[in-house]
Amino acid sequence: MVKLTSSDGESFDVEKDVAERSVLIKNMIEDVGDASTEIPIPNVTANVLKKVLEWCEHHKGDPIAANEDDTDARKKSTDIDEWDQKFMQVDQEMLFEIILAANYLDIKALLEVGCKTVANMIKGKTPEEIRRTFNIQNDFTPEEEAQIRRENEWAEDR
Amino acid sequence: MIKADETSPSGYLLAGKIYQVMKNDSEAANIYVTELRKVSVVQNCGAQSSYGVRDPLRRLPPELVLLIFGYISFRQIVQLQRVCMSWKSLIEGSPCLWRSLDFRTCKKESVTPEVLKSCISKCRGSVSKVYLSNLTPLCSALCLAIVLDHNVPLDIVERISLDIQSNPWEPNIPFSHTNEPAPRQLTYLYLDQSIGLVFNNWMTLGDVTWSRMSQLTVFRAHAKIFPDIVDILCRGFLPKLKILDCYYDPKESGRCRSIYNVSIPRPGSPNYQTLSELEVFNIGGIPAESAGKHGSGNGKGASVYVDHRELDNFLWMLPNLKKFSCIDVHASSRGPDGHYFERTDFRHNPALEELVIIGTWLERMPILSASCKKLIMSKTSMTFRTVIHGGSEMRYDSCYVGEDNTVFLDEYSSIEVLDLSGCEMLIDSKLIATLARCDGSRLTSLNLANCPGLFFSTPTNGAVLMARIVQCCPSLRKLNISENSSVGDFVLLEISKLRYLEYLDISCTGVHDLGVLLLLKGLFLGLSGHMDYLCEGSVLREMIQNNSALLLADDPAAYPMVFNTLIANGCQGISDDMCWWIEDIGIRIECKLFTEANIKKRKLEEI
Repeated sequence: MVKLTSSDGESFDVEKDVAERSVLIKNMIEDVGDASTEIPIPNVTANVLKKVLEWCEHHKGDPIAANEDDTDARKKSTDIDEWDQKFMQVDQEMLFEIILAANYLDIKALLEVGCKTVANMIKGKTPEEIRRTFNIQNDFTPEEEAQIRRENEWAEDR
Repeated sequence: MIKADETSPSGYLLAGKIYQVMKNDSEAANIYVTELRKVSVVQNCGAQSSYGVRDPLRRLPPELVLLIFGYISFRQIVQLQRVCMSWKSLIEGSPCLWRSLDFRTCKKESVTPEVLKSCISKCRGSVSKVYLSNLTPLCSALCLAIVLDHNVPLDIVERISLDIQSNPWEPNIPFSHTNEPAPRQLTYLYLDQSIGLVFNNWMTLGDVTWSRMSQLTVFRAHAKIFPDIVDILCRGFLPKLKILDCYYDPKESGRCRSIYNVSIPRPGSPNYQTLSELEVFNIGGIPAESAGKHGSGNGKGASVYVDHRELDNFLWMLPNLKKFSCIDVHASSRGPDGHYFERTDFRHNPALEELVIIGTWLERMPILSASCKKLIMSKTSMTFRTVIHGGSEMRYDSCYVGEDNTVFLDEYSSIEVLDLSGCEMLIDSKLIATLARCDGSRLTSLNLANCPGLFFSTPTNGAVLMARIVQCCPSLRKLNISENSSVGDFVLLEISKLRYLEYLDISCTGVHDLGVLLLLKGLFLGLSGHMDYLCEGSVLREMIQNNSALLLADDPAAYPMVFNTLIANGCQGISDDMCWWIEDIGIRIECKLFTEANIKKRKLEEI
């Protein structure tokens, strides 16, 4: 068992192999050499950490993917398996927090699922729809917007 | 005591690591347990301030946003610039998003050379892939030139754009004067690494370095670009060339009809030394007058054909060719001898290792060089010359006799993989003659799927032929005899003599449980206990009863076989019980319900 402490002071007792889905925690455990030491996770709040650990628990048996450096070869597919899809049905706030936590904790597979989820929110939408989805202010002047539109007309939908 | 930047934990983590390396464990633990906490307060504040902001760009560091954008198509990425200023500047300023330029789904005629140029400039480094389609011929020429320029150290961009303004090329654009819908243009071109294709003589790049080109694929191009391909071949070090689905328009006379038309001496002798893989698919066809009778390769009825002598000449010039694929090529000639694909002598390509001839008409079995290991001849018909010429019916035996009556004996001795699937006119005697020329100890893979002419020897459904096959090729590891309805249980009895067999496909054959039992007899000592699977009173059942001692006794040292995969899709005589039993003894069995689609799918996978 490993004891993790969230930024807001809550402690979690986690099985070692679950916690070690996080490369960061894995390295820390290796560095300290003593799994019983409490490990602080200063960047992640309790509610996010709880969610992340839930994911790690479900995926603890997964083979750890080999490190691929070539991004070109990376699959461009945004398919997400069913459990992960359900898992990611959270509000945007939590979604971003999960992505940040996965990045910080270095959990590659979770980061991938998070990014795919956001990518799916963007895919196929017009700029206007995207602004609405993410509550983004259109800060172009009408002239500027018209010009950008003209420049990129070739990429528009048929 | 160390004081690190309190906005990020990395300083403390590093310090802890250093202590760890210094073997100062207590200090390291102290860093992790107490000091690291200082960071959290500051971080929390930061997180609080951004709460409620939903713009990914403001919530996530740019590298994560780019990771997300990596899942979005190039065309939409371009569109995303319209969302807001910060998105635009991130996208514009991130070369990684412009590395693979895929214009294939863009509107026709909307991609201009200017667009391409601006996209390439945004990548700053080198563009790794460009996909173009749906362009007008002029536009593709220019775009390709730009792509090409981008990867060559010569500064030709300017020169070309000057050409564009001052050159009287416009009147020469092909097809611009005809009102009818333009024939198929170059609609798709796959550019691998740094290649380019310049086609038509109005668009010639003189001093281009071609040496970096690794593969050229020409798809649906007009035959008039062939001379340019030849040009590229002459100048470069091209290792792979694929010419797929190309056509010739009879109205465009005067230009070369085929890529093979290279017999004209060119300044600087052709440099084809490096070409190691050549694939031609559905080029050529049949002269118009006979197209109606025999069906044309490209189905468009254009008067297209590949002159076999040209192909012959071309192949002669490729001393280092390792792999030659010829798929759906209906080579023909209106010459007096009227041959089909005549090039069956590959001894002039001494490096040839793999010969693939699919869906093509052959007059005789190819003669191979000693290095050839793989011969794939799916769906290839030896010609019935009678169909075309009346009179001189070709005898199968003549396949193995040269023009001067020399019998070729050993040229198949190096073959390891032989694929004769789908050869309609293949008959037993011909197959045996072919196998007899192979070196039985080398041949390890044999595919006889869907050969309706085989396995008709009576009375035991092909067992005679199979016995000969076993005799000829004792070291087979992979055997496919699927889709032959005449393959029966006795055939499997013969197959069980193949000691090294690892993989057997008997899909869609007339095999029953009994056949499988016979096949696996050495593995299963309680054979008689499984007699229930057999039909009452069947000949085979009787035979087993009479000979079971013999069947079980012979050569026990040879068993168990190395056998590990049995594919029995659609062998309707095989029961579920039998499948379970086979799996129980450790053989992988694929026994899904047979459907047309399954078969087709499997075929595609194999190709």
